[in-house]
Amino acid sequence: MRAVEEAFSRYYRRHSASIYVPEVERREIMLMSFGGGVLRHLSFRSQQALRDALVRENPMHAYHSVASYRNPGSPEMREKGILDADLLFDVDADELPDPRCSEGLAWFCGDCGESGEGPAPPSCPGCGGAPKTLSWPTEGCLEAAKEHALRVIDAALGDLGAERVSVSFTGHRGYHVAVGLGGEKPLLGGFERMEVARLVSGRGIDPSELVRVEGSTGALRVPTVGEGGWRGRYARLLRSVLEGDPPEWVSESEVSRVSAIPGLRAALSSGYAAGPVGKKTVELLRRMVVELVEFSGAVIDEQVTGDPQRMTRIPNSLHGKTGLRAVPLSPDGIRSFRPLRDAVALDGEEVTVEVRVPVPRFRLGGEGFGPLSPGDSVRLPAYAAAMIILRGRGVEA
Amino acid sequence: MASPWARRGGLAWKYPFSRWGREVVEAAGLEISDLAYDPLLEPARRGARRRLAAAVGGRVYLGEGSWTPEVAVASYLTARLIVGRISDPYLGRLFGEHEGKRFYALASDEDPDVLSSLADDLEVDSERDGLLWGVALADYLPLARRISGSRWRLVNADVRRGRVWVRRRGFVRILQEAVRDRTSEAPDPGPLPPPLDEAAADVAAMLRERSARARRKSGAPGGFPPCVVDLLDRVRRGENLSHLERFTLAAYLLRVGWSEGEVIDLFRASPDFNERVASYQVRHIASKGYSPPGCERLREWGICRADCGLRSPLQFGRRARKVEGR
Ligand code: SF4
Ligand SMILES: [Zn+2]
Repeated sequence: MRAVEEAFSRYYRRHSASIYVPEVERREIMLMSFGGGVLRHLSFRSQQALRDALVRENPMHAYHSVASYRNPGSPEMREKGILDADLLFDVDADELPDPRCSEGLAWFCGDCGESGEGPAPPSCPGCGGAPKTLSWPTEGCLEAAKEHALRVIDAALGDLGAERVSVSFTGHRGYHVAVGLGGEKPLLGGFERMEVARLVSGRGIDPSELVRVEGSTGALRVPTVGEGGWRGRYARLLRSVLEGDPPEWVSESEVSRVSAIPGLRAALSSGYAAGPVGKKTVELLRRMVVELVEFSGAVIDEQVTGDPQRMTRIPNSLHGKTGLRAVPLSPDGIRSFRPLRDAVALDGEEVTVEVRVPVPRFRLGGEGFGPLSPGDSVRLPAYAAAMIILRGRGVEA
Repeated sequence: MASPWARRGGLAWKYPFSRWGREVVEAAGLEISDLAYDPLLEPARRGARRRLAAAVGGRVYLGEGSWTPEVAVASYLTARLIVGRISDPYLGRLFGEHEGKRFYALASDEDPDVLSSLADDLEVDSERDGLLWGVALADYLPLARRISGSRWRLVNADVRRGRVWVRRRGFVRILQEAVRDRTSEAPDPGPLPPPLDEAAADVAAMLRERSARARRKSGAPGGFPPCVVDLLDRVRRGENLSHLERFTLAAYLLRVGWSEGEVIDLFRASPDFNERVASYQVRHIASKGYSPPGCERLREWGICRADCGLRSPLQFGRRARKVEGR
């Protein structure tokens, strides 16, 4: 890894001025070295002190706490004295049910060195050992992650009325969205934060709460289009069906059933009861609630949001699994952001790489590379070499 | 139409914990010795006893229509002094539960302006828009957390611009929780004059009787897992558990061999205990033979208390027993 480490070091020496952690003196900092060592509970008085530390330590990974603390450097959680913590939403491509995210997979057997394309077979054909699946950051998959990050941003700005939304590309397979609600009372309880996470993901939605039927009359109560959260989203979905402009996942039979509900249009705008409707229609309406969440909820790791003590990457620090930069973005800037072009951070100094595991054709920083096969020995610019080496698909020659 | 004075007096009668109550205290210059000895406040002392008896017995006592604002506020203050003096958090919770329920009964059809003003008083950040009130998330979430029912979960709610929008009844229900918070902790006023001290002794006796009724010994072989121990502790201390917590505890205990009656008795200590509802729920869990949720779920719901390295709390006893048996 020498050459990769050196490339990281050159980056920190040249670009440390771009490192900036808001309210740095209140954050806990954590650094992980190439050797596997971890420095926790660090705190810095100024941006410059932090920058100097990054240059000196040349970490493989660098994090700061989302929370602000009275004593960020204290090793005891209690003594840290948490003051506030943004809500952190973690969109990780590994969790996305998107076919684009299984592109570029390869496997490698650490026991005998066998490798191949696609996900790992249950046992190694070479030695019977247990091979590991290696992922690869692809344009398509990162695009899928971006869609989910945009859903988080929408909910943050609309439903949550966020005062502050900061987005960042993690440098690997996803995005972090940090949301500050403003106001004087910080939201620190695990349950409370988890509730917000579920609002954003839609998980745990209760269709019978959104679609209610009065037992005796069969009168139907649905949310109105002016409401917020999933209630409003659902009402607007039904309205789009009535207006002949539903999203593509709505089926023909759903369209015809929904269109036939008497008084639905008025109910959606005013809150009056619609119907009466039969059991089948109620079931279908409730199924559409679940489908709506499936097709428009953000897939996030709720545990991350629930825990006010999570860490996120230091803006413009390097990700030790790719060599890409953790890029701070604005809620709008993310739309035109192309991670594999814009997050390239290491320089073009040449490094010779011996390939161990198949590498798909890939683009980085506007240039194309590969495909490469095991046994190939190639000279590559440091940023491309780092990607292959840090993804475990090759070694420095 | 009542005179403005009567209206304000009425508000103190209904909401003695609020600024209307404080205004009466200040205007009348009420002090502890008045509460203890003033003959005109005898109805207030009687009212305080009835209030506390209701709280301990799980009922609601609204008060007497004949009370003047002073008597109404004095009754509340006297009860609160006694709660503070006894300094038992269980009694504090029962009293908070009582005052919350009383508030709900009296406020459900209250004038909207009065409700908004009560919210300010209770430090609940709210905004009114037509028939709706928007409660700021930072206030809504901790208050709604204790209310069971999926309509209270954020994912099913009308959330806009950082506020959860609810109709009048919903707003009053949220405020009920804030009233409970405000009233369930009372500072210890120190030694009380004899008349109030006697009343306190009576209340303490009622409380002991209730605890004795609710208490039962624990003892599954191998002991309970930390999550269950915590839930048991909290029920016995008279805390209201959330629906999920109650379900977990009931399903667990039924699985390890408690009878339906024993489980129902356990929940008797909960301030919001309702015999009919509780026995229906427990019977339902028993008849379906539900298992308690797995550790992963429990961790997610914040019920897990330790990392026992298990998949289900049911394994806890088993593993311990196995180890012992070796
Ligand atoms: S690990 Fe399981 S058994 Fe142990 S406390 Fe947590 S939930 Fe209970
Ligand atoms: Zn092998």
